[in-house]
Amino acid sequence: MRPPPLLRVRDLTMRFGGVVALNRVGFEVAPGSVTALIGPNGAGKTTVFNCLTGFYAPSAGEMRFHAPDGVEVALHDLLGGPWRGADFASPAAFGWRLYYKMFGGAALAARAGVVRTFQNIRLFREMTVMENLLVAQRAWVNNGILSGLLATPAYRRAEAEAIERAWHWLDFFRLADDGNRLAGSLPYGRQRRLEIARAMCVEPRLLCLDEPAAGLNPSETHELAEWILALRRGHGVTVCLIEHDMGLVMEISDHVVVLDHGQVLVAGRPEVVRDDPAVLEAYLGAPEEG
Amino acid sequence: MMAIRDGGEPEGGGLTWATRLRDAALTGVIALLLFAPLTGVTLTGYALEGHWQRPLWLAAGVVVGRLLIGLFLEARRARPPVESAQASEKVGWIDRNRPFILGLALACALILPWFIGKYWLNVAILALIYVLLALGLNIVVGLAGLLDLGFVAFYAVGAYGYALGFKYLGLSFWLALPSAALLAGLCGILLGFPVLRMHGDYLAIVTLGFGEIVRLVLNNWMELTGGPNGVRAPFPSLFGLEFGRRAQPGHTTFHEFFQIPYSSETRDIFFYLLLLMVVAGMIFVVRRLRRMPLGRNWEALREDEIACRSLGIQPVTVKLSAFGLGAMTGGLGGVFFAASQGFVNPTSFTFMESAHILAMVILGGMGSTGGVIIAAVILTVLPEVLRDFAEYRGLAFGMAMVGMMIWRPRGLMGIRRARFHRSEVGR
Repeated sequence: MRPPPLLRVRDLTMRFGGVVALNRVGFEVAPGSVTALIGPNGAGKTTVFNCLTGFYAPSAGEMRFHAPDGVEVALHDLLGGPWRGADFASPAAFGWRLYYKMFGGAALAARAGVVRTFQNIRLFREMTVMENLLVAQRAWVNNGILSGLLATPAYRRAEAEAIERAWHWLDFFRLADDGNRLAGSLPYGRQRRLEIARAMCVEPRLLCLDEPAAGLNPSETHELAEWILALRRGHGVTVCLIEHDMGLVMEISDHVVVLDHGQVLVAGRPEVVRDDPAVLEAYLGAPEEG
Repeated sequence: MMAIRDGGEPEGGGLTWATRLRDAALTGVIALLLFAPLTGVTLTGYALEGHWQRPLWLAAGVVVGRLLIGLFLEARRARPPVESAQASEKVGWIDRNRPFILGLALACALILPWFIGKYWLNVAILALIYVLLALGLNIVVGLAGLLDLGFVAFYAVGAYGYALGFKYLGLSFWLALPSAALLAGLCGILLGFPVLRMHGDYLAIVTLGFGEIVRLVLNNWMELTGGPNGVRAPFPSLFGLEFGRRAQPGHTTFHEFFQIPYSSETRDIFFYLLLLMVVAGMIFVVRRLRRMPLGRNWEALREDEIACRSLGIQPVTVKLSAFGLGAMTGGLGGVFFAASQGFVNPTSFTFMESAHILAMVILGGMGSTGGVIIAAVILTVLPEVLRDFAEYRGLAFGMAMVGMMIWRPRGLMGIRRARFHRSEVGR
């Protein structure tokens, strides 16, 4: 029997005013897999990511995620969806809805284990590489103000562990020499790597990479593919990626979901998707008759 | 001597003596053009009087200054940019001798009150209060990147918290210090809530409005605050010992207790040292905060809020903590201000005051603790030194700002980032 999917998206719909960006999108991500989301520009790939990681509250549909502790998290609830009549009937429901409205969204999705990178790199540019990684370790550092001011042993231990973990990921992504440089001063390729390293410091179950190979040269892209596979093998991370580099997609993904005009066109194994006429049509346009 | 220094410093290479002299001459001419109409002509009755030596002296000063800048500051700028990015890797002279310099500065500050007169002691007290305020605003603006134009509101809350607390509740200075600071912090958090989703300009406008609201309430709520007439705020006592010439019934004065002759300066020295201790404590707190998760989160929020959220950091709590802690520091400054003046009224808390504190933060370099302290001291002491040129204060201030933006757009002192090394235990 197959294990239950790590993420199950069903009927995901996102409307911006009259524009329907996503129309009943549904797919599953198997644990330990690499799932690629592809499609022409404007197909709605990044919108799916924004919904998954809590930056948009979807208009309708559900996203269920198996959190590390085995509990199923309804991501769509974390995002503080619209008020419903039922919320006003029960104080508990009202309270939770208010809490999610106030404190919900991306931060909670990240804490549940869904962490993303961005198409246009978003690093803390005026901070050093190490500081970037330390900021990401929210859950492991000692956040107490007093213990920090007094530098208690517990605080120092937590800090040392966080630094150790940061060095581990710097080694993994071959960034160790740049540890004390400003993140904004790194070359482009290393900034991409640093963003993935930073996301890994959150210890995600599901890592969402938004065009990780954009702007990389072929050898860098090849390295990236190996890193992604190593992350999956060695760290039990499931990867979901948006990518335009078909070579990379075909090389590393187990499952490909093709989006077009906010709908799922085809989903399946990469070699199946590659030869599907509907996909070719979406990418290249319909073949002329005759 | 200069020539030797020049030869011995190969990094200064980009600039030759010719360019330096040419720059200095050019600046001198500009200064002459600027100063001649401003200072060279005075109106006596209906007659114009020329003072041609005045602009000449000023221009000469500018020329020398420009030459010095060319010698010392620009030498560093002349290095290729790639190298300056690497320059942070090197440990500078200041860094190596940091504990020594800090100790020396603290020792100087400690013995200072016995060497300057009463007037300058009061200026020093004011400077320290501004250091406190600038440190507080630096948390909000410099670290968390939330542009706050109404910081003076928290200063007012602290000052009035003490004055009104004494008037209505009989709160002593020592009790007012924590409670008024907490009250200001609470106000900071309250202000923070409605502006959570605002950035940049919009946030600036709302905080500006908040500052004005607080001032107008203080000015117009006659029954509670006494309006423009202000409220009295007593001077602190030390373990029940008072600093007046004569004690109130049931109390002892400081000079009687220690059997020393009365001097009004004792009072100010005590106040200065107390304030110095609080400021030193605050500097310690801010420096530690910068290396703590909370401080790093503030900076991360300043850099990129969306990235923060994607990493599981809750912007709400981070912003509110910055507002709260910054306001608390401002409130602390307010209590000291009220106690040192003995009296508060709303005219001390105008928008100009907010702008003044913000200027300190910007001049010092956003986020740099040392720079902000130096800027606060300079901006308080310099107007006193230049009291004779009071009319030109605005001009000097504006020129300083323009000069800063051109030569040191990142503030007087660069920001020193924490460095990390591999632990000796691992590997």
